[in-house]
Amino acid sequence: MKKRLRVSRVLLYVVLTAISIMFLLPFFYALYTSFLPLQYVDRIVSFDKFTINNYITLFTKFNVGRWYWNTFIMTLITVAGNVILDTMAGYALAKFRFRGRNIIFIIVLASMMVPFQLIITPMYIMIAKINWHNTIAGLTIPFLYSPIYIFMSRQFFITIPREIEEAATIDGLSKAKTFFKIILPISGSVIASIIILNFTTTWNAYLVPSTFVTDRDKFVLVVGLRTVNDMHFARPNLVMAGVVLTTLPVLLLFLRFQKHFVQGIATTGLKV
Amino acid sequence: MGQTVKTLARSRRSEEITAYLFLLPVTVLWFVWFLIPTAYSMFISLYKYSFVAVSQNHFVGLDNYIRALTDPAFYKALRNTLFLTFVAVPAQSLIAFVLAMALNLKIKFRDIFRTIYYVPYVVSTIAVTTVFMYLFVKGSPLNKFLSLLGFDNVTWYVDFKLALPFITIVYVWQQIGFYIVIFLSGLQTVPNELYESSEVDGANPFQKTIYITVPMLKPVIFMVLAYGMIHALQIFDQVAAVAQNQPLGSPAGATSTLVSFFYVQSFKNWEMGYGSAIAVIIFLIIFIFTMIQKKLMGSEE
Amino acid sequence: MKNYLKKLCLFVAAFFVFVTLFAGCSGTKTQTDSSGEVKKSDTQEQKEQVKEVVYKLGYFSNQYDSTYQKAIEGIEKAVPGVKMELVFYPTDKDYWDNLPAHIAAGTAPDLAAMTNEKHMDFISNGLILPIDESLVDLSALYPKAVDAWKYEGKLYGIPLTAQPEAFIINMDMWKEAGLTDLPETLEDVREAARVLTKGDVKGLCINNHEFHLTQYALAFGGGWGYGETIDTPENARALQFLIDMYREGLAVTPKEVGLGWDGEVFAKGLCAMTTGGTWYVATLAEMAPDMNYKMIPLPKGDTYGSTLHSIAIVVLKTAKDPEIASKIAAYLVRDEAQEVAMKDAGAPPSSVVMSESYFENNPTVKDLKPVLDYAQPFAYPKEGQKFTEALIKEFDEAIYTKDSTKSGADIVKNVQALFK
Repeated sequence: MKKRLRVSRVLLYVVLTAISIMFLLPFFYALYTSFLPLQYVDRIVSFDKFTINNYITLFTKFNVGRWYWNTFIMTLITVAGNVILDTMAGYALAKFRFRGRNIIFIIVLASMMVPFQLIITPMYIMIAKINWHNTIAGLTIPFLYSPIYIFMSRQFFITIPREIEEAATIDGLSKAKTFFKIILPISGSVIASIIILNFTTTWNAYLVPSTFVTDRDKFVLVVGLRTVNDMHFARPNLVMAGVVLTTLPVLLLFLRFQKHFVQGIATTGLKV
Repeated sequence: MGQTVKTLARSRRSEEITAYLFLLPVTVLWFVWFLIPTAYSMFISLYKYSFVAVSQNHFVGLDNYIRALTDPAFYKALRNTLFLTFVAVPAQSLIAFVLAMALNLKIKFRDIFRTIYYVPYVVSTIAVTTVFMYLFVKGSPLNKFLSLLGFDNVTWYVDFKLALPFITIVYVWQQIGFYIVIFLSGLQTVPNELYESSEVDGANPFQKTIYITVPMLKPVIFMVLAYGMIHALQIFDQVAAVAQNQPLGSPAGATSTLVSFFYVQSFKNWEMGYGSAIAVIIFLIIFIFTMIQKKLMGSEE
Repeated sequence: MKNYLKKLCLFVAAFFVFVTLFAGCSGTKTQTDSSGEVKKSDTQEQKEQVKEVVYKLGYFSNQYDSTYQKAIEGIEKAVPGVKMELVFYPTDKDYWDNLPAHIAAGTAPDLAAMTNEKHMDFISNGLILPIDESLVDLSALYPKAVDAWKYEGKLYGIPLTAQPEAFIINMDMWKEAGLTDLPETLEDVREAARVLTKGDVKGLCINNHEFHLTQYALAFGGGWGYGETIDTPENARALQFLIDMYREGLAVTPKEVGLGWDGEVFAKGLCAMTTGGTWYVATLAEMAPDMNYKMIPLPKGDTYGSTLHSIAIVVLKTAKDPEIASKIAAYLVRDEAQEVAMKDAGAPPSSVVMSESYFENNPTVKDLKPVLDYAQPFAYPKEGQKFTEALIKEFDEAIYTKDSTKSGADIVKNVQALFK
């Protein structure tokens, strides 16, 4: 019995590692290419050909530091807005009884079904009218909420046992207080997933920042890094160094917040 | 008695008000930054409309809709999109579920494994498509291997039959990480007691998954399937990345999807009226599919 | 409780008043914006009071940073009352896709640097304004380059560069295959390709992109004639030549080897010959520093043909004053700016004098000089995007479909049908 268990454990690790290698291929490719001079791109070369010049170029010839900062601010504001507003709305849809609840839920779903490219031009015209183009406000305010995370938090809050809220009501807490004082603290896993997912998409966003911003100093990282290619010139090595620079912060964030995916949080709630 | 009814009614009303207050900020933002631009776009779908040549815009009624529905290219895009959706959604949901279950076990290096499995969702589509293009180019090791299984040794993304499966593979591969995160956080809501009591009953891991995890995760599974479908029906980024400098949907429309078709009309040909009509049709298609799915899954509360 | 409700109602009401006001204000603002006279923020109005108006020039590709920085130097003296700023777009795709939205929103620059490949949609939609030729002095510029920016008799841009098209040969492969004389006709190219093709290395790279297809069309005496002459035997023969090369296994497209453009295919040694331009010099210097190559005019089909590719400064619909903008455009392409473009971006200048020295001082490209004498505009139809999309779709079907019987004649017939 024990032996069989050990064998299956080993097998699990083998499979997990194999998949890991597969999943890491593009990142390895990016990492590898980012250390090559242009002439060796797509060739297998020995380590002595490696150079960190691509990174040096990005930080000296391009405004990468500045772009990092812009991206960071944009992402921070957006994620903060989403975490607060989306969970509030999701909780209301999951746990409150009020007129129009179903309709609102369907509207939330429907809002995800409109191709974003449809509204970006009218949106830009609105942004331009109030002089928000080239500003951080234009990049963040319209995106402080997103239907997917409202949907997501609703689906999670539904699974929270009613007993928890009932206990809170008996203790004399209002509905709003119950949410902020009781529910949010035990919803680490939902909040962590909103932070992780929203951070990733905002950090990597291209369409909106490239349309709303035409000032080089206000570019975000992803947009700025596209400029390493010239009109008639592709520089995969610089592009891939950019990919590495863009990817790493997100992975660090993930590493930090995935810790919230631990069993038992909702259960502790149940025991209250 | 009367007093209790009153208190109940009052608490009902306070609940309602709190609900509206909770929804207010989102509603405000939604109204300004979603409804206005969307309504505007729907409105111009009835016009021959271009943002750039405003003087030539004029009302055409349903002409744009009729034009879309009689355009063979639209149906090709629809067929491609449906193929992709019906392959990608089950595949990504199932794979993500299995991997999330594995990553939820108490294993060594769990943090590292989880992070690695999230990498495909983070790495930019450029890097991902570049690598996949090398993997599926004519004469690549992978292609040679696949030719043993009866596949043609051709460059997948310039082949009319294989270009769409190629995009599907890239899409699924990139999206898995997203759903792993959702499943992982969903799994935390399953109370341990349930597993413990089932162990007492002598259930094996497979039975535990089927009889405890899946029913408990029903709301999350509904979301993964619903959002997965909504998202897949709007696939665009991978199509654009694979097209590179070529027209969207290359080769010759083999990878054209609903949104790429709409994008071409609106942003390349500058026919915003026509493009908007297509987008409205896309919306209706997705809406119908989602409602059917909602019915099929039943009430999840 | 009631109080609570009242407060909420008040709040909501206040919000809607706010939104309506907001909408109202912006409504009036559009009108002034679209009339193009008054321009937003107070700071700018203040500047107008001191009689200094900011004009903006939009461009992409950071290769040209130094060129345009040089170009706007001294504008205050050349065109009194004008200051200039640069607006940089991250990629060509963003440039072409976003510029229309920016024009519609009134946030686009006044002037833009553009190539004459994608300008037709802009012209036909009135986004580029014609330039009054009496206001500007064009005598220093290559007449062919100026012609490349004319459409229906009107001038739509003042050229900064005049780029002849080139045929590039990998001389290492050429010699290794035992070939000596350079090809004079496209038939020679075919013969050479048969010798040069070895396994995965093909004789010719055909980038299935409108730019490259157009070169061959012109070399067979064809051309698109702004949509009038798509369905001609000359164009059909040109496309048939390429299709035959491909079907015979002598040619490769960049995409099927997973690369973005012909220059990469060539630099990686996956083809021996390709069509291109002077931008190859910089590319190859970095990507394949050891390669010996030669740039010659595209060999003859039925005649000699080449496009004249040109970057120009155009006046956008959003220009504050089109007349002043035209004068600015003329100033921006002066020799000093061309010199920087030549040095930093390797771009052949449009000025006659500068052009002479460019070809004399760059031995790699000197054979291309005569090409400028017969080079022509691209002459795509007014709906340029639609045309290129249709053309490439048809061409891709012909080359990528297994056992396709689609001929060059079919392609031009089908494409022409869209432009009747």
